[in-house]
Amino acid sequence: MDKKTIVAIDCGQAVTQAALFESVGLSLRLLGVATAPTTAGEPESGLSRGVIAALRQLEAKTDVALLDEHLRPLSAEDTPAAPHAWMVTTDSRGSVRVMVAGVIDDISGQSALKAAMGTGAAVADLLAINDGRLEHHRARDLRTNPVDLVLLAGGVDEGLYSGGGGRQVVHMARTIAMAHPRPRYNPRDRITVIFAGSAEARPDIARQLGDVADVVWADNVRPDLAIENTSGARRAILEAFRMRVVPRDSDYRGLEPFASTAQLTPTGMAVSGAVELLAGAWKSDVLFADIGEVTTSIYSVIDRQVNRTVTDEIGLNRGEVPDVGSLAQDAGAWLPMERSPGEVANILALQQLRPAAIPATWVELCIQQAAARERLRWSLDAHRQLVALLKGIHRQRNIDEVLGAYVAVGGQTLVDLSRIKYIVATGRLVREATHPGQVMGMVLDGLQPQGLTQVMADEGNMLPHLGAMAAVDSALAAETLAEGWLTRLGLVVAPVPRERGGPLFRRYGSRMARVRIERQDGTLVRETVDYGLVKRIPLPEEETVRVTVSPERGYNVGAGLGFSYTTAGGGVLGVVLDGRGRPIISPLNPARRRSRVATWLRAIGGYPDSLLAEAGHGEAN
Amino acid sequence: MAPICRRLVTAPNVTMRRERRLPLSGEILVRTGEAVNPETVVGYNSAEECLHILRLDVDESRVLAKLLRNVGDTVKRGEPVAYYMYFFGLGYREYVSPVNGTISSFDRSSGTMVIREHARPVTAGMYGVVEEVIEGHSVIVSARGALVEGTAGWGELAHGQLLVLADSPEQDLDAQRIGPHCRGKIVVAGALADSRALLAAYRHGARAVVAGGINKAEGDEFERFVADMSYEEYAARFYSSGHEIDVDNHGGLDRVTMTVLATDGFGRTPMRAEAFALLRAGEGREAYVDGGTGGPEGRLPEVAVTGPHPAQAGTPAAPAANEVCAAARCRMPCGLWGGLAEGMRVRVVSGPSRGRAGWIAAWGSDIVLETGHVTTGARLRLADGTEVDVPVANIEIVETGPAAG
Repeated sequence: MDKKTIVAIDCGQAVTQAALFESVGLSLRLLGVATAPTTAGEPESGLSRGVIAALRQLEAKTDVALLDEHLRPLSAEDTPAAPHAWMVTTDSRGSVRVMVAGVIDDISGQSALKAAMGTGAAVADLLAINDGRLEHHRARDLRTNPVDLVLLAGGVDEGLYSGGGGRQVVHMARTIAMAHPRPRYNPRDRITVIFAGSAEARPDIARQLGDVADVVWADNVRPDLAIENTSGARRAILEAFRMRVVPRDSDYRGLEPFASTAQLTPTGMAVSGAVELLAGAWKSDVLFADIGEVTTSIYSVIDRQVNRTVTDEIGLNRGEVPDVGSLAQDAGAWLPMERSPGEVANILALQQLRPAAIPATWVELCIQQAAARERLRWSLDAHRQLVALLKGIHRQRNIDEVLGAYVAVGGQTLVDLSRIKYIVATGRLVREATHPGQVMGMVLDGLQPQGLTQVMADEGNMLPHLGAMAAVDSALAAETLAEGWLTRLGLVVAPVPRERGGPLFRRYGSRMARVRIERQDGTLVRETVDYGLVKRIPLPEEETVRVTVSPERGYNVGAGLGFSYTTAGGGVLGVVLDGRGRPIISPLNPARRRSRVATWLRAIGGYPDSLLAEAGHGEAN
Repeated sequence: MAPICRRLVTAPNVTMRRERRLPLSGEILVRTGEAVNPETVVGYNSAEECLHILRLDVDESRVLAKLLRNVGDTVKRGEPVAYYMYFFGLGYREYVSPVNGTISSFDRSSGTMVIREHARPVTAGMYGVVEEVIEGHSVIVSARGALVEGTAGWGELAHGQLLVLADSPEQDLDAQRIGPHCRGKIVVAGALADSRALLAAYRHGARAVVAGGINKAEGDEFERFVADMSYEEYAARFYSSGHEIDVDNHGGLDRVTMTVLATDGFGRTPMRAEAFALLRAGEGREAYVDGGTGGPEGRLPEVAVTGPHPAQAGTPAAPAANEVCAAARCRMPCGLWGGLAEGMRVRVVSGPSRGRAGWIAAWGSDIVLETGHVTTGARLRLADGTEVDVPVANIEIVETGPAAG
């Protein structure tokens, strides 16, 4: 079979990563990886400077020639040893930045938001008639926020003007016209507005926006209040990114030759593709957490539907994220040593401003990972809000609702962690963690998995590359992902106490569940999950064990309160028994909290004893 | 190939191009090639759409409130425009203007009062020449002068004379040294300006404070404190040193602000020697400070001396438009990133050597950090002759050369 070499490049927010693969049939081998800072904003060369720096390093590591003397990519026509395929994904500066505008933020706004985030776009803001802002303040926010595109949605396809929706969406178009926004790549250009709203309103929208913007028509994201269709808007955003933004934005100048095999793709979209392939292979709902330097993306596949949300602290994406001061305050709860909130805030603020910097001390690393726990928590909350039943549906109440036994008004989240059997952590913080226990700690404390969950890590940050590959050769990408490119960290057992009716106070160390582990050599290991404690049962990395968990009354591990559940799993950390309940509640006393956190971190591993000893000898419970 | 690192400009003579953008569409008042000074208004936004609505109590199409201002009157933010007294004077409601503006209409049947916000002026903020005009949108002002790029900032554009209140880059700003002589000045500190010093500078009317480091929490708290401080509140709090602001000439801008800039980091961080020397050399000269804006697209925090030197009063310091070279068509004179080379002046942004500056002695070998992370490192020779190994990712190049112009 023919050998082929593939170069995949991902321009992240802070770091550009280039990877060289060799494929033989449906087998893929990684030859090398190199990184360089992402050079977004560089006036003459844009992103290509960072790409070339990464490729030069990759050449030195792999002894494979990738660039010619003019720093252009070598192709197989130039020399037989040259790479056969080149592909680029980009998340620098949020690849494509979109302003979303809708009529009602929970209805058309929410659907448009899903469409934009699903394309891998960064959402600058969400404007809606009911967002509480004055019209000219909306216009000012739109004008002062540098964006590439505006996505406007609102109104149903039929009977629009019989209600009030028609007037509202036209009113929003008028606000956009008042703002007269310009694209961030060239203020002399006209902005592109993608209208994914009512088909009936198109003539009015064209009349309002014709003078100030290029209007692109897309399928309505909410053709009916009960139907959501984001695919048309997603296609339109991707096409606008490739046809309008990339050729005109100086950042992408010189990048086209490196994306000769597949067109330039937003990283978020590439990862969504990889996530979809993996969920299909595992036949289960899955959750992916991309823990970046300044952004945290959550991807989920719920009932075969891929969802993506992004949150950050630099104002790039819309999200309820507190400022650094609050982040420092909250992150302090996850530190095993005493540090003032002011000191933590100084370190976190610098990490935000210089995201390419590497934590050089244990204290800096601990603070970065503690903040990642909080960022994961907020991101999951934002994800839960967005991945929810549609709002605005007119429905008749049934007898249960009339009697108050069952309430369903839309907006309930579809993300149920007890149904999610796989969690995958990826991103720069995963790549830079120096021990698998650190990644497991971030996932356990940040996402707080429930029941029995297999936790995995993409330590090489390969998902963007494999996602881009899926667009060219989906069979190769699917085969590769199934081959075990992900590191199995461990199987987490986390019984969840009943929400209502349980005891007000649980005794520290009281039994929550009994665990029976059948190893491959036939031996049995028995252990208990105890309240407030984290335990780890180490196993060889490649061993898959069969775990049966029998919860006590009032606890659930996925099969219902008190019912046993069996699954198979394992990983480098073995089986982790998390008895902290959900949500995790830390002691209020700072000394006791630090001591407790140190105990948890010691159980999972990954931090030196000298650091954990700083917690002092406070009471363990 | 040498690894690339971010550049931090600290140069005595560079050409700068800065955008001044209208917050809403409006009118640009200057033309290409025109010389501007910091007070020059380059444009106004259109006030046509900036409407604020007050709903007064009505009863059967009769307004219950008594009007204190009429249509066409100018009102200030917080000023009562009507009041309603009810229940024999025991109940009282006051309607105050949310903005500085003009009452444009009042509907007696519905009790709706519309206040049009004053048009907001955008000033040049620096000495220079207008290089480019995008009608209804923005202007590009180019100037030549000394530029010190900062790490973080709080607040808007501010200008004033430089006043150095530290003897060395390592010295903190002592609140005791701040007095009425700081009014209208840009106060330069050494390693740290804490919250006491910031408040002292603010109460004495300083336009800006520049220090090597500012505590993040204190900077944020100060920004929140200043954000809604109107002239009236400022005068009430700091009556002994309150300074006059001509509200009418500044449209809606009646807030008393002070910009804060950290040149080298958060917490106590000595200012890099080049920056301190440059600012000290410019003491007494007109400069501007920009706190920058957050986000990857935002303006970078910086302090620049673009004003005429006292000895050359009347001589425009701005370059002619044709002097602006192509390399300067960016936010920084020679790009954001530079290749590392031996002998290059750099500073460390993170880790045990945070805030220290030195020269590259060697680079390229792998180093193992205390966390176990293996990364490409560089060996720095510090000013005291010692050498330290730091990750290349944690280095910033201190760009001191006259890169353009």
